[in-house]
Amino acid sequence: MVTSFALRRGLMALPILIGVSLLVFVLARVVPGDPALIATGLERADAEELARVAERLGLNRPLPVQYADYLGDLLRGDLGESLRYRRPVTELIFERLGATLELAGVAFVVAALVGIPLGVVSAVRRGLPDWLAALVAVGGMSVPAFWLGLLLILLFSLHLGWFPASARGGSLVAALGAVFAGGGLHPLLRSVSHLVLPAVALAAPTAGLLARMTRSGMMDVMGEDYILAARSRGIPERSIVYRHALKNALIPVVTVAGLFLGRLIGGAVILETIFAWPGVGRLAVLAVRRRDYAVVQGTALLVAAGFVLINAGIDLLYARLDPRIRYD
Amino acid sequence: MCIGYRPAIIVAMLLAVALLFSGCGGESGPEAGGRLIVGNNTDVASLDPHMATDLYTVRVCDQIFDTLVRLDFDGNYAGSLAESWTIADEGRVWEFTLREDVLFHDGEPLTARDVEFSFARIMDPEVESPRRGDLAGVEEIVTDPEDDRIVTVRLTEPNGAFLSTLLNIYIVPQHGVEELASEPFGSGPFSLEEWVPEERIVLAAFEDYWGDRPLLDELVFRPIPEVSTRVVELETGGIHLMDEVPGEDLERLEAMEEIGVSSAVGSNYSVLALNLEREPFDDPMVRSAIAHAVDKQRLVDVVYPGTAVVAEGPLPPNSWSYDGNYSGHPFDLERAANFMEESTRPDGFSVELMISEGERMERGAVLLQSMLGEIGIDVTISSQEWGTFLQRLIARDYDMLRVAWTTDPDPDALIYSLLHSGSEMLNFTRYHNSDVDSLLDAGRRETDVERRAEIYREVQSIVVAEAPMVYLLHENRVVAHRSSVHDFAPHLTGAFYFQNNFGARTWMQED
Repeated sequence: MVTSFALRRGLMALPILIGVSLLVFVLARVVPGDPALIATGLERADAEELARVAERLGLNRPLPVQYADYLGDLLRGDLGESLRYRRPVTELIFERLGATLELAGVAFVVAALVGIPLGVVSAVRRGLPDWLAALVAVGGMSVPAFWLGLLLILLFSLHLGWFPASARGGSLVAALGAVFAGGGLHPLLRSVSHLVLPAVALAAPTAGLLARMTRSGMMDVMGEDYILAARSRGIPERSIVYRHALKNALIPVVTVAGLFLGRLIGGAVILETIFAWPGVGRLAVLAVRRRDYAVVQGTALLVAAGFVLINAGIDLLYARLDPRIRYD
Repeated sequence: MCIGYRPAIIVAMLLAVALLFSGCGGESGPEAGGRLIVGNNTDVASLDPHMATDLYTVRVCDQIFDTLVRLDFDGNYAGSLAESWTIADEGRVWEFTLREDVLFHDGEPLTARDVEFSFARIMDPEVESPRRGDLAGVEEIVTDPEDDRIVTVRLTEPNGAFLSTLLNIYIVPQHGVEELASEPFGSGPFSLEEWVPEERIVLAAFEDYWGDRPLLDELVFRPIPEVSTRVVELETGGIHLMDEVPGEDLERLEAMEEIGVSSAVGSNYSVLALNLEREPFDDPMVRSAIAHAVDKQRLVDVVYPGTAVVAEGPLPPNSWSYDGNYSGHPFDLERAANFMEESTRPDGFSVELMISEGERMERGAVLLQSMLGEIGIDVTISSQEWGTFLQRLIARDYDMLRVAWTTDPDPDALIYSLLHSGSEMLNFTRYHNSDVDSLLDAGRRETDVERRAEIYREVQSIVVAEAPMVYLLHENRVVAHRSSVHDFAPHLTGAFYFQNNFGARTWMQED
């Protein structure tokens, strides 16, 4: 049952990814700007050189032909070559993917650790705590991540000097490995100190959203009969809230967790540039500015594929969380 | 009791004075060692110098590789790998004599064969080097199998500006070409230690560099794309040096004790270009009116305080062709109004001013808008993202635009392609004057510097008078650095030199 469901989801993903590839392909080329011209720079622009680059990239052929070629390469797992780096796009992406996943992953955990308790407090303790939690949650949701990022840098790096302003302090996974291998805490501290600001800036909007969703979920569940029954049996309130109510209140939150992860990866694109984080987002931003089509397409496709994959995974997880859901 | 203490106090004071002096001694003289971290805008595209075009890549390649000649801080040619050169056949044949003592980072000597190989590699269509066009005028390279030091370059046409081309032609080891893309080595003052994409490039002083060994032990380039982050990193000591400091941060940084700011006039000019293919810019009266209506000094004072100088014409003050006595159109509203009245549009007109995105460009555009408003020209500002801006400029899809033009300070590089009517792509105002054309051709052929200077000054006076573009200002190269960085000077081309044979010898104090 589950296997055939997974297979169906996999087949459904294919048209989505092809659609994304077409959309990005067209969007990249609709935006005015000649990749060769941007690469050589205005002062060195030379008709022959521009023609050569266009020829190399196949830009002088009709668009449908270009797309067909691109799709053909794509099916063979070839994302093309970057104009700026003159290296395969897959190589460029994989060099940077770890950093992006680390940032998005940590931000996801931070968002969950902050957002869910905030939502619970909000739902259970009405009045001032609810009001304060709402302020934090709505504030986090409404502040643009890049602005919050710059603000955090000014406050915590420039004025307080607590955290470094930018860059990655080594891989978190490697640092954790070092701790277990007896290498000491230093690499971990270094890695975490660099992670704090970008992860908080990235997590804030998602934490806010999570808090609001948890709050409304909790309020629905707390009104259910089984909660009343539990109370009548004299189960302590704390146990009711965390063991009985929260688990059910979180089902709708898990449904959209995939979307949250997507949001985080999207936000990382901007924050990586601000925090000089060596991830895929920075590659993508520079590629858009340079009209490095192969990289723009490759990174967009990667994000889309990640999105589809995570959502399929979450659908599979449902049954575990809620026995009422079946894979028919 | 008190008497007993006195000698102790005197000794303590003497010690303090001695310490003070020893401290001063340490500070006044260069110290060897240390690690300098540069905040760069982007990561390098590649460390293969024949593939490099953008400044942020080139400035890293400059540390690892060397060129035959370089520009010194005053804009004059200085021999680097080439000890000397002679010109024959009226500028068609250039013969270079290489230094004797040059080693690559792997210990092998650099010879004429490596120079010949580097030229051939750039010119090879298979390699697809973006520098190939630069060497289009090279007919052949000749070396003598018996002589490791002589390289002769024969050109198809005489070219007095050939040295300017060579500034970008890096000499790579023929035996190390396979490693160029991944673990390159050259003959520059620093050798590559480590390159972590998007994180850092670590370079180490090359002990056997042909010049003096760099005083720095290590040089690190950190790519930090966001300029506000770069500034914070400088203030907190995460980096020691950066350029392109935003105008709004400059004053604050200058006031800080731990930060120093230094600048040099760049070899560039910023213009207000008029599209002569469009009415009413085909009317010389309208163009003269605009040239007189622009208050360049005010533009510099308001938008570029301390970071630019007023331009009289295209030749910047650091070019050997610069004429200090020359002055172009003075700001004179009355004359501007008179020109407007005599023009085809005495009642004024509406026009679009295209600029590229950026805080200074936008503030400058608003000022120009109000200045031209004074003579009845109604300006709409259109701010475009860089790629789009370039596209529209090349397609000549604009009325009026503001752009900065940056090259090396040879006047041929600075003005030929913008003003020669044979320049299809870059003569984007569509200016055409056959006298200017023949002067520009003559300037390119001529090898005598004095005569070239005269030619370009004549070009300058014609072009400023006809005003296809109004020369506004020359922007400075501004560098901000920690006070612990000593003896670093910004270069007019934007290159970063920490060690060379014409005066760069940067050193670090404990921060």
